Parts: sequence; structure tokens; C-alpha cells
Amino acid sequence: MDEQMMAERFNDAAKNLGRIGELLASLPRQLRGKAHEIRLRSGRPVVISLPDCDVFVTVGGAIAYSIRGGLIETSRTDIEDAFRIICSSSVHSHQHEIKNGYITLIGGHRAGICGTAVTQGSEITNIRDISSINLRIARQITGAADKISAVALVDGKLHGTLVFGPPGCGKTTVLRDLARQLSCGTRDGRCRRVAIVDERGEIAATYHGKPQNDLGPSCDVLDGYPKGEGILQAVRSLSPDVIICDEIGGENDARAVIASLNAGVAVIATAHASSLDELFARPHLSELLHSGAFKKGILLYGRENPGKIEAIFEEGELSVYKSSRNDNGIYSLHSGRAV
Amino acid sequence: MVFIVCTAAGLYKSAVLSKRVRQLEAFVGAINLISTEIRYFASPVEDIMQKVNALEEYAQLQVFGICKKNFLKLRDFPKAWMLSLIEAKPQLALNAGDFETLLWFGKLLGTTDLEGQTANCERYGKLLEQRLTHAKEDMLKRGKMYSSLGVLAGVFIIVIFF
Repeated sequence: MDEQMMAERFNDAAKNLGRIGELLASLPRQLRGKAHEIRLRSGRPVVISLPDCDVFVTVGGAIAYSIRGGLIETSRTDIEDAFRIICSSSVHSHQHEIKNGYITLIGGHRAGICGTAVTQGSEITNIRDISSINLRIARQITGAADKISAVALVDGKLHGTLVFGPPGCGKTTVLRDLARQLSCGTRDGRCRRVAIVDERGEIAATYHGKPQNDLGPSCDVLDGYPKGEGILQAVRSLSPDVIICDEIGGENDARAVIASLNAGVAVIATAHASSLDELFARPHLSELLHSGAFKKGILLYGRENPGKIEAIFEEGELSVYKSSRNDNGIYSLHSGRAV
Repeated sequence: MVFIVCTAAGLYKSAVLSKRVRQLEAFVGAINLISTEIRYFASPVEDIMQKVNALEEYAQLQVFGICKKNFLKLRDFPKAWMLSLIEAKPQLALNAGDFETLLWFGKLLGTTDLEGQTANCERYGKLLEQRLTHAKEDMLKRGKMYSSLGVLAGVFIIVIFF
């Protein structure tokens, strides 16, 4: 995605921040083009997250790498205004999202919300006194899943695939592009029916019923559905060729993936784990891997190389994996095929 | 001529009272619709304004259509609502109390969760219903009185001055 387009996306996202957004819109294009996130904290300077560091912004529009005078500061009113704009003055419409700590915006951007939890028993029912807003600028990288689609789709057959890696390694970006490629038939010219179970709205970024990201012509989005229920519903009512979902790991998710497998529908999913050891340490994922639901496992590199494949694991390796450590205590991925 | 003017003035005053009743009835209906939209669909305020304005019985109030336009411009619902009430005021036959009630309803619309919004709609719906009851009583009591007074005033002026 080029700098100009990213700078425009930055402005589009910043519009949701009221006064602060207006100030940020005049920042140099180069900075806007690189920015991943805009962070507002009540009574603190505005922070812009770049791939390699966080920077502050002065009132004059210059970048500062450390705290000093003349920085743009976020007042409580700024946070309240931004929250109101983010919610489109309709808190009731975003209740579920607020409870989960984020709101999806038009354009696919996401606002993470932090404040004081209102609880009922052990459940968070709401968030009050919003103190921070972390606006993540949507980026859609066409071609991010080129290598992964080659692994998941072999000889016209789709294989259940688990994409895993540490936070920030581009799992969702890859999944989004994979959904688009399968739906468009980019790889083999055959459009596949793709059902996306988008519990957290990160893949499709649906706003008012319309996916904000390009997912091709044959995608059905089950927006906000809990993954387990969404997978089962997709199998029952959408007869998809493939089901795509983000961050599986719970008991219900595992059961639903197995049910989907039994119905002959491949599932492509992601999981947080920076090694096979971490993957197998999670009981439901371990059970799932042993069940043979996933024929392929793809480990992505860390934050420094988003979307890049570190290793690919085949079914046998996934189900009989045993970890080993070298002398430095670093897990070796000996069973993985280096890419 | 004098007789016609006085009668017309009396009838106009009486018509204003009827108009207020009709408009309050429409606002009560609109608030019920808003409550339904919130409770069942959790619709955002922008969509709600559009849906309400799409119905002829509420579109004639003009407030909802103007509010939607203002909201798209300002992205601040309470402000957009207040301005729409002010803009639509010349077409409305409401009194200061009615305006105040509607103003507060809009100030709170969309600021809380579903439960809070349902309670808000219920509360302001009831308040407007009370105002509607008073408006109906007013219409019955003072409506006829204004019409009669208009005619009588016309007759009186003619008798005295001509």
C-alpha cells in the first residue's frame, strides 16, 4: 500500500478524533503514511505509533521523540468528543463492542477503548470514564497471503490451515487477504464460497452491514457471532467451501471446527502462539491439532516481518509434535519446513 | 371586514391549539418508534432519524429530516437536534415547555446503553403524553372560546364603532 494511500487512510481515521484529528491531518505525509496507530490518553500527549517507534507531535506539526514543551495534549473533553464521534452519538448501537473494548469504524479502522470497567458479577457490562483511545488505522495489503494461499490450496483442494504467530505478526492481515483471494479465485480462477466468522469485526470490519475491507464477491460475513456458534451456523445455512475465523482457542471453537470438518468444510483460522510449544500448551488447540482438523500449520515471523512465513508444518507434524530445546533454551522448530 | 378579521383571528388561535395537539401526538408516536428502533435493532441515531423522517406522519414535523442533515454536518447529535428544533420552530405550534421536553429528550438520545435509552424514551414519551393530555384539555376549553371570542369581538367592534 503506497504512502499516499496510507496518508489518506490516516486522515480518514483521524476524522474520528475531533479537534485532535484536525490537528493531526496537517502532519507531513511521510509520517501519516507510516503511522499504524494514534493513541489518545486523557491529560497526556498524543502519541503516533510508527512501525519502529512511538513519537509525539508538537502543536506546530513537528515530531518529537521525547516529552518536551509544546506537544499536542489530549484533554478529557477531547476524549469525550472523540468517543462521541466514534460511537456516532449512538452508544447503544455499540454496546457489545464497547464491552469488548473496541469499536469498528467506517473505513475499517478500529478504536480500542480503555476506561473504568462497570461489572456485574465477574462480567464486564460496560466501560465508563473513558481515559484512552487507541485508534488503529486500517490497512489492507493485497498479496499478503500469496504464499499462504499456495500452502492452503493445493491442486484445487483447500486444506484446513492454522496460521499462528506472536501478536503483531500480521495474522489478521494475511487472513483478510486470503479470504479475498479465495473469494475472487485469484489463485486458480475458481471463486470459492467463503464464510467469515468475524467475532471481533477485525477481518471484514463491517460497518452498518457493509464490509469495509475488500473480501471479493463470494464472501459471507457473520459479523459479531461468537466463533463456535458462527462456524456451526455457517455450516448449517451457508454451505461454504471454506470457513475463515480469527483467533480460535476456546472449547466451543474447537468443537465447532471439528463439526465443520465432519461436514466436509475446511476451516482456516489463526491462533496466538509464537511456537508449536505454545500452541500445544493450550489444551483446546492441542486437542484440535490432534484431531486432524488442520492439515497445515503456518508459523509467521514476529512484528518485525509482518505476514512473512517462518515455517510450515504438515498434518503429521502438527499432531505428533514434540518440542525440543537447544542449549540456549530456544525452541527449535525442527519439524517445520523452512521457507 | 372588521368582523372577518376578528373571526379569522379567533379561528387561527383555535387552530393553533389543534395543531399543537396533532404535533404532540406525532412526537409521542415518533418517540415510540424511536424506542422500538433502539430496543429491537439498536439502530444508530442517524438511521433512526432517517427512518422516522421517511414516514409521512412524522416528516411533516420537519425536525427529523433537518436533524439528520445537521448530524451529518456536525457529527454531534445533541447539537444537531437542538438546531433542528430551532430551525423547525416556525412550523411548530408547540409551547416553551414542549420544546424544553423535546430538547432534553434529544440531549440524552444515544448517550447511554440500550437499557438507558429505553428508559429515556419511556420517560420522555410519558412526559409528552402528559403535555398532550393538557393540550387536548386546552383545545377543548380554549379552542371554542377563541372562535366565539373572535366572532363576538367582531360584532362588538362593529356595534361600538359603526
